[in-house]
Amino acid sequence: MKRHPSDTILALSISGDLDLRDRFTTIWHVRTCPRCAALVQAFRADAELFRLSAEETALPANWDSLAEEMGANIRLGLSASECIRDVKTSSRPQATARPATAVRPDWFWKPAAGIALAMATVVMVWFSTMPPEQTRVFARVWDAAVHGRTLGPEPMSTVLESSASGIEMRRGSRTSVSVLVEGRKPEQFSANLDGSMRAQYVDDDSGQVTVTNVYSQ
Amino acid sequence: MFTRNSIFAAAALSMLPLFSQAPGVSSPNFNGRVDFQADSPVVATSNSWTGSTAQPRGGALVIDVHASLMLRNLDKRRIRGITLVVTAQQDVMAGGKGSVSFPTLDVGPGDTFPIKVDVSLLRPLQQGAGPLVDVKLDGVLFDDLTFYGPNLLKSRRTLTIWELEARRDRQHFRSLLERAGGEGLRQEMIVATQREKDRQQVGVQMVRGGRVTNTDTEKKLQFAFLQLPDSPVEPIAGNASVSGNEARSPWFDLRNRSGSVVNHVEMGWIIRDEKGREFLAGAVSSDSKLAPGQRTQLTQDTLVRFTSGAPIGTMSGFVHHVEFGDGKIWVPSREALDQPGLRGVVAPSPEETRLVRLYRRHGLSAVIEELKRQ
Repeated sequence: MKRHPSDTILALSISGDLDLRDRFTTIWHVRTCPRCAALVQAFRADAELFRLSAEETALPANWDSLAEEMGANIRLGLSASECIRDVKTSSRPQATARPATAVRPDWFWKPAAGIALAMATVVMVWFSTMPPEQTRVFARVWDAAVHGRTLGPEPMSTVLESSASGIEMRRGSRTSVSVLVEGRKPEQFSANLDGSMRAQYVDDDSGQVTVTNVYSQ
Repeated sequence: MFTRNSIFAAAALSMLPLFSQAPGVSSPNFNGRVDFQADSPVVATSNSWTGSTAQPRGGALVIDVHASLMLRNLDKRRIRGITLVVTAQQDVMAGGKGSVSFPTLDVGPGDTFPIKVDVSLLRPLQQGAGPLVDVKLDGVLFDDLTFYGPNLLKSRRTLTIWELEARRDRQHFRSLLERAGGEGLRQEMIVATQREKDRQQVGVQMVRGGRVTNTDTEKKLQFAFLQLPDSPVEPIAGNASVSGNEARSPWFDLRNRSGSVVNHVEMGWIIRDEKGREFLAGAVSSDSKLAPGQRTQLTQDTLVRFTSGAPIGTMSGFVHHVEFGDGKIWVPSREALDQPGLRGVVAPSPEETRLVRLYRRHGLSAVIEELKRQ
């Protein structure tokens, strides 16, 4: 180091507040520079003197009594604000304006809670009315996150799916049709691996059997 | 400045659209067409499209067809079954075609009969003018097992299988009635009702050419075969790739042990999951010709996933039906279907379903009266 470090750098090197690189270069310089070594020695002696004097100085009070005093002040402040609010409430007809620092009204939380409730309802209704081909995406993500199942690519081939309510056909996660006979559930369904599914319904009144076929191709 | 009430009112108003349904596009003026061939043995005397809707969704038009048709039999033969094909577009995209079959009919010459068509279809949003859907005849099966129709959906085979099963089951119930009287038939109806309730139906997802998504290791699982003594085709070996609750690419090695050419074989596929539930997983069919004594291998590149969630334990297969070169069809006998592992798993025929429903709704006398009909 060609230039001498500043007094601040030298003082900081004593307290250990320099970063690693500056500390290393400063120490290296002090080892080879008698002027800076003398300054560092002086700073170190001052610091030691300061530490000794701080230890000899008594604390103004012990911490427990300080905490009690602060707690009492807080309680006093709360009581005072209650008194002010009672006075303002009783004289509300005459009041024309409320200062900006007034105590927050007690019904202030209600609109916030109402909006939060409305938003929660919106989200619930949104989920419950969302078409199955969209909730299926959430189900896949949930499966992957919670059950650790592989989040495989959404099949782009046509998928035929049978369930107790009928047959559904979909392509990817966007477009689907469901073969549902209103008010009736299929008596049985069967899949032919050549790409078709069949659902059988029986009319309660006439006994007529109807077989509906859905083809993926 | 917003008041408390105005905030609540705004929140409530913003939620209103969520509770309302999207309107149907064209329910009252739904443009459907019944288009039977000029020489068709059945004609539509009236039709109604009430309740049918068409709604855009994801770049396509989803068409819910709810049609009520009144058909008349113009032929001299009795009609036993009919298949209608409902199309919204010509093979532009998947989901444009569906079909509705009506087995177990008994329509005399000149008689009219009502049918209901309920099916959902897809068609591209930008498609030319013309009807939204066409209802056409794919085939009619008569009581002498003759057939009329273009047969584009192989309706002849399907309707014939149902008719043969109906004859088999009616014969079984008639014999029972003669042998054990009304009480015997009643007991059989009660057993059939219970069997219907007990039969496991598991949701199935099917993807042609699909890939396994489970992380478990895929393995080849062998089929055990349920032997039907009079079956014209003998299953020799078979397996499928299985991973958890998914299976794909079933493969069968079959031999024609009859003296006739076989045109079509359908294998039934039964799965028993690790929870002990047994259910019919599906059917695998082949249209390859099979000479007497010849062997063939049958496979389908299809993935099936069972929504029961339980891993697949064991698999078994059986010959479901066979079509010969001359158009004749073989279906398993009642005795063959009574063996353990089949009865209670294989679905009853449409005719048995109808007779059991008749018993539950109208009692034993209605079933006996029905069985008197040829």
